[in-house]
Amino acid sequence: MQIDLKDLCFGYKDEFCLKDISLQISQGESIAIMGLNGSGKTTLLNLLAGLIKPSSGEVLSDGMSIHKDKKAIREYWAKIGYLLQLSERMVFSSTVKKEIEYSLKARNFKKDIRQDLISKAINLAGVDSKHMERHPMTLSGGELRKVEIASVLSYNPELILFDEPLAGLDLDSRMNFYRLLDEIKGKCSVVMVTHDASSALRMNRLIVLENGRIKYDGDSSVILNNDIYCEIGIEINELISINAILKARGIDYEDSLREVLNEI
Amino acid sequence: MKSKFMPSAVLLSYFVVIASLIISRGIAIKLFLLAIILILSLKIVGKGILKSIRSVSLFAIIIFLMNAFLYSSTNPMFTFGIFNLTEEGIKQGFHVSYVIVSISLLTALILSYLEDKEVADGFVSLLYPLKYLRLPIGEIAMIFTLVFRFITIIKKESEEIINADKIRSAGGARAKGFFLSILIPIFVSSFRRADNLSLAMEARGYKTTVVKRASLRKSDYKIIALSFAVLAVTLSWRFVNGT
Repeated sequence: MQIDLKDLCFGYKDEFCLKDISLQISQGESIAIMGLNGSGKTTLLNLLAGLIKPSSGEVLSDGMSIHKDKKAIREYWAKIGYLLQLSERMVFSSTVKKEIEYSLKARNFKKDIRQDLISKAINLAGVDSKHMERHPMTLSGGELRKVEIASVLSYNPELILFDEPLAGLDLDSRMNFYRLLDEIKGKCSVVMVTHDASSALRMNRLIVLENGRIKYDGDSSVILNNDIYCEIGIEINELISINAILKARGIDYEDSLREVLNEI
Repeated sequence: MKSKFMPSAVLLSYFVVIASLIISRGIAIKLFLLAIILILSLKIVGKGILKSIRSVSLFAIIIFLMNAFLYSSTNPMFTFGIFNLTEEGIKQGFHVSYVIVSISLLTALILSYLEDKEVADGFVSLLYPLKYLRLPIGEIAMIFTLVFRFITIIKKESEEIINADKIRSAGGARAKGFFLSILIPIFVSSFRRADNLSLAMEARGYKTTVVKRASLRKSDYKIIALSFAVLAVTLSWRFVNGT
């Protein structure tokens, strides 16, 4: 699925929170969206998800406007996954299994196929299979986030949108998420709003927003060799800070650092 | 939006006009009151306010039909089983439906004019005289304020939950009849917030809110006087027409 955002503006009257956004998201591409609070990151994600309509411009999925009619937007929603910030608020089922199964039932997957897809999704998201009959509310925040990720992954969406997926997670859960990103990268398109430089580095492309406009759109490795992170309010990883300091002193070990980050 | 009038004055006028709507009798005065509300609404809010009529119209029609056919009377115009179509029923049904539509229109007008916090502050100021009856107005004021703040927060969270569910269920739970996927997260989120709030209040050493008397301005007295004038006209009309 190829997504095109054409001259997108969003706002009310003369106050725009997003202005002149044009982007192309190719099949399998992974993009990190960064920027200061209020720069329009979540609004851009909501526009990409088709949850809000742009004031002007359009969002195209494989060349067709996602807001063409009700059928078009439902077909689009069936192909994408969206993990909210604090996604555990969405939990409503009595067991973890039912929680994951919800999206599959809504997409009319048959029972025998559902079981297979759930098994694959929990393996990918790292959900302990012993938890399947537990009530989701009895799980920890990190475990619950994995359940919601499994729920999104279960139906193999072509595009996954993450809104600050690492908010409130401890180091262990973060590491699990990094592994998951490495696993799904290339299999589907990923767009992730984040303040975390390590997860942004795992994406192919970085988009930085400032006051509702695109300030930077390019390779994510810019984080390693540029002091752009100071301007855009990225949560600086210690390794990256060290790299920046050493680079300023004329010592460049960027490639080694990238290898180390990929090994974590 | 900074209101031109004090919230307490707006709310007092709101209640006085509601009283006028309820006691109004006769088609002419009813149309007169509705026309005033409609003109004010369209001028202040715009055509968008008509949506509030659309949302209550089905409810108003049901109430009208129930009154028209279930009102007990000795001389029905038409009888079918337990249903009696009576003139009194039609009048009563029209009045109740009229009051429902008018109040919803007026409420939409007030809520678009005042911010949630102003509505809460207005209610709290209106409670001030109850202090002399030794009622715990500090506690009541806190309840009002919390309820109105909660409405805004829960509304925002509900929108987020409904939006996210549209993608999870590929079209919206409502369209597919899965109401629980929306209702449970909203309830859980509300209770969790209430729990956190009570803990936060305890931790900060909550004390009863001090309710202050509202200091009204000239423009506030004008709007209150105008609403009482409407009430006086409605009462006079009722008295003159002997209804």
